[in-house]
Amino acid sequence: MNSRADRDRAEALAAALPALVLAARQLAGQLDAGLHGRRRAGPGEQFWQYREAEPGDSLRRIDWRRSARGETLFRREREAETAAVLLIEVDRHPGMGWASAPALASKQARALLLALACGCLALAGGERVAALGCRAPLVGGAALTHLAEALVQPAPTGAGFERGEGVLALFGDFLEAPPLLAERLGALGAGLRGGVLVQVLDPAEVEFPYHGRVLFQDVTAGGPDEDVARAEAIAPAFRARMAAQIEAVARVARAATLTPVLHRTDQPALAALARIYPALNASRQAAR
Amino acid sequence: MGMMLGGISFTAPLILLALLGLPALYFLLRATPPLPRRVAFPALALVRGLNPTERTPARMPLWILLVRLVALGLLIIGLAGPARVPPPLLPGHGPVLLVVDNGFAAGAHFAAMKRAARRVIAQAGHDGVVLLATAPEAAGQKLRASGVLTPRAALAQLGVLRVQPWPDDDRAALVALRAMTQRRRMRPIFLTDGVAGPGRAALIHVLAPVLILSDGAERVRLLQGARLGLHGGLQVRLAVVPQDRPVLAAVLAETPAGAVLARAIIRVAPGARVGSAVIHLPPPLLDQVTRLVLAGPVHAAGVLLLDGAARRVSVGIVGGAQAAQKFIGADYYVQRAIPRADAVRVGALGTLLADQPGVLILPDVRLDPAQVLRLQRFLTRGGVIIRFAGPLSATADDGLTPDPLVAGVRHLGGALGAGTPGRIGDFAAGSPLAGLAVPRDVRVSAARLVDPTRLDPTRVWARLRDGTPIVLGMRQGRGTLVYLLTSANAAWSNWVLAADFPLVMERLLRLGVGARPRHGPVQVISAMDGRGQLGPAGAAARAVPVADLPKMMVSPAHPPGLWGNAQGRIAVNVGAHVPVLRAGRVPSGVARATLSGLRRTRRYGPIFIATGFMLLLVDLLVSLWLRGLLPGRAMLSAALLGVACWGGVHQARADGPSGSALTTAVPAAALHTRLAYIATGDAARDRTTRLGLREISRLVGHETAARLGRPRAVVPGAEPLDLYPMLYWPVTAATPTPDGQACRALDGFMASGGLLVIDTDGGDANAGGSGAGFDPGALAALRRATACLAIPPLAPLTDRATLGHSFFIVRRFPGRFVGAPVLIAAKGGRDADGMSPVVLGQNDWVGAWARGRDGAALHAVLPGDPGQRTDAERFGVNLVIYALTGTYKSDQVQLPMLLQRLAPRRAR
Repeated sequence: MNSRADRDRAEALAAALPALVLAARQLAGQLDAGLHGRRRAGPGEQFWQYREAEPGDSLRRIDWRRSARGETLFRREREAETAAVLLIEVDRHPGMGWASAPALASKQARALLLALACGCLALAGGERVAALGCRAPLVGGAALTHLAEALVQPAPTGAGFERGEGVLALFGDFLEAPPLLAERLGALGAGLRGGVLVQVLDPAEVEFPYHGRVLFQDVTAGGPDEDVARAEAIAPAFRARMAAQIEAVARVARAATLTPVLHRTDQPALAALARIYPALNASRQAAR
Repeated sequence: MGMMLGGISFTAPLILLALLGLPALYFLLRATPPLPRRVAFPALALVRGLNPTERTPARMPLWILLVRLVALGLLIIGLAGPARVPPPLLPGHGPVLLVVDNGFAAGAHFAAMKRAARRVIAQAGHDGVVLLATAPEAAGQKLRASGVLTPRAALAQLGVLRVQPWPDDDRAALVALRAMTQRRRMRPIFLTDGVAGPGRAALIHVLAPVLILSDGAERVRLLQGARLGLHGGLQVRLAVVPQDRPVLAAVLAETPAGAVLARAIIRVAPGARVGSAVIHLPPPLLDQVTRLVLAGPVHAAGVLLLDGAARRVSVGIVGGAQAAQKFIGADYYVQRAIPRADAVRVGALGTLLADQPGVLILPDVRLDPAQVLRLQRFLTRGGVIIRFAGPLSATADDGLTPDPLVAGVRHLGGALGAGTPGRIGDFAAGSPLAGLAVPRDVRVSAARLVDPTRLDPTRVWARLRDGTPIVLGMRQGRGTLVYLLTSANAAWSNWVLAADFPLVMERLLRLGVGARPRHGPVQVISAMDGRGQLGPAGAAARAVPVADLPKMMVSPAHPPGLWGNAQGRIAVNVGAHVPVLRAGRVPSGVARATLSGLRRTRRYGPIFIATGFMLLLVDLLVSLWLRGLLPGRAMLSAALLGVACWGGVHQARADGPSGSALTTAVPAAALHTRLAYIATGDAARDRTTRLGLREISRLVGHETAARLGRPRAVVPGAEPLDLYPMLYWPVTAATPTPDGQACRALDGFMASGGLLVIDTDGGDANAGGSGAGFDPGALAALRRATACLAIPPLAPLTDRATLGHSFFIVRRFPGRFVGAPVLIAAKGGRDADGMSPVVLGQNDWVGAWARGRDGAALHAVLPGDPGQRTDAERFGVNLVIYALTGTYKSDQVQLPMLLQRLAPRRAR
């Protein structure tokens, strides 16, 4: 539809990406430090067996400590593991770029930050990550940057969720009607092996702190403005609706085997990440 | 005046009708909802359908509505001009007839009277004001009441109304009042100073029914009669109207420039008319006082001009130790006849003349022709000479006499006398002695005799009974020569012993202080205005015979001020030339009020309007904030920014000028005078320089009063050089060429009075003196190093220059070496004081001066003849003293000649 505006927004976001990537790394580092005490052996790190070295084996694979006990050179073999794929998706519709106050991060920025931090943690765990809808999973040092770029690209038209294996991490405000969301998640099909659905909301969307006569403008769909004579009068009703929406989204997510996580942009990102990451781990364990 | 509402009136009451429109405005404002806030909202889908179906427009919040209504109400009331008007002074209608006293008695509080007049005019309003001032502005000018004036015109007229230095003319005011045709329908107010005068009662009677506005005559102060007291103080009196409480007033003694030299408090006892005080000042200061002024607003009655009568005379008596002998000395009696207030000096003629006395007394002094010439000059310049005859002066005729004298002495009594001793016959009318009582008991036994054939009778001021002149006097130039033809001691007559001889001396001495006119008409020369300022006299001022002056009353035709004629000046002060102060009586039944009792109209309009606008401003800000156009944080930031700017300005002001180039080392250098040198970088060389300068500093402290601190090495251009009197610069082949900044610093040092001493470590092989060949390349190094300096044309230093005798007398200027020429600025290149800014030598002075800690010289001197090192050190002291004092020593050498040349110039 308005691909031009989409591209502009994407470019503006891309300009902020290096900072965002850095922030995500720091955020992931904080969580990493927080989980340090109960860290389990990562996949692929597990010792499997010793094997006699054969000609042609790399010297770096020789386990010198073991070999020194006898006269044979031993080679250390690790457990072969196939790393899981973390599929990440961040909603890109214009409403995501909104923040109720200049000091608050926009929903988009916060969602991207969380998504990248998840990606960072996954990469550190040896897993592969991929932006939903893109071809190949990303690995290696520049993977995070590539992931970030992929996440802000305008969504490839027509490409739904990739049908394949992987754990899902979906970020967005999910303000659409619950049936629509259920349909969207349903389109992901049976290949799913769990994941998280992170609903990022602005505090103003939850609390509705408006007074007096307010003219609400539609930023998402471009519909007609809503002229509310006394905003405080409709606030209770709105809050009830919003609570119902959040409840519905959680329900839909659980139905699609996704763990729902609610995050408000006025709360610290680390708190959200601390809830997202265990949920992802649990999904991965379950999927394995 | 408009509508009255409980003491508050409105100047434009019709505007208040607009208040009726406020209720309408209320409904209008209430119906107009405030503009909505616009908010982008992604969760709009959840809002949809929530909006209540009733579409009643949003109401304006009630409190905003009230604020707006109150603001508008305030504006409307403010525009209507509310004012609290004091109750009217006079009942009825019609123009106010305002009669204002502006004579001398109003001077002290004329400002308060004018303020009261302004309030009266304000109250009169549109009924108009007729103004009449009671003191005429100039001689021959009749008093006239103004027409009916609008308040604005009346205020303008009041603004130019000036207080006059003479009394009110009530009779003239009466005439002016009677000339007014429409007086009957006016409301009269008399703004008066409260002093009684002729015709005042009649004036009040004619004005009746009148309101008298006055603070009474108690505020009037009249300064009178300054004269020299017997003991040197200046006596001054203050006249007031008798009062129940004591009156205190401060009197200031002022110089012509307005400086106050003394202050005295005069206290007038309760019930008394006059109090007095004495101003004590040292005689030289007393001479500078030209007027006495009452503290407070300066006005004619509070100003006392001083003339000769109040001025001190400085008297010189030519005499000596012998002349001052008790009872027989020539000046013994004369000294006692002089009033003690006058400054008397006794001494030789030459020293007395240098002091410029007003009067010179010569009691029997023999004069040589040169002295006569100087005395003639003294006369021409305005001096007064009082000569006495005597045996010494009788032996020769020196010509310093009004009329030629016959040689010798005429003995009037005694064994050889031609008859009986003479008695004083009379004092010539018109002479300064005229009017003195003729002493009866005076016997003149001997006197000089005037050559009768060449006698000018007008020059005889006193005669003996037989007609022999005994006092001669004449004006010569601006001065006066008086010759008493008898002796100043008791040898020739007993006149000097007479009880009234001091009166004669007093008359004669007064000739020496800006002489006072004795006869003939006098007229005003500079007239005093109502505020005590002297200015040109008006054309209408008339002359008065000097004899009538004491009884003259000041008036437009005879204004106070300085009067005089060709003979001299006399001060006519208001205090001595007005009638005795008496409080005017207010007849019973006449309404009266004090000036301070007059309340002024208070206007509240501006306050209402300002408050209304403030409220509107608040409303505007609140509306903007409600619409989200003015975030609270923005307001806070603006406030903080304002505070920060304000604080920043204060900070900048507190910091003051910054960026001074002073380094931390400088204060130490500034605390103590010290020599400085430019380090060469060669450690041994620098040590020699430092030790040499230290030794010379020590020597200077030992030999002279100058105390110098430790020498300092400086880098020109990197630090200020102004702190050092002398800068020593050893230049060798290794000396680096100074850069531009250093050159500028050295040039500045020389230009600002510093002494730059440039020295080399010996000279080239072909240079003169014993240092030849010690520093090959020295000349080239000198040229190179000084190329960028503004060094004036140089000349060889000789022992006749100031440097040769600025402390020690030295004939040569050796250092470690001797013989090479020393160069200083040639005459044309020195500064205005004749001081050379630079000394250039090749003798290595510091090498000769430098001594180690043990006091032993560091270097041998060449060729080492006896006294070379001593001479070097003496020259060093000379250098420092030259740097410190410049050409002072040269001036001192020339002192006698300078004084001789200055003396006539000073006398002129």
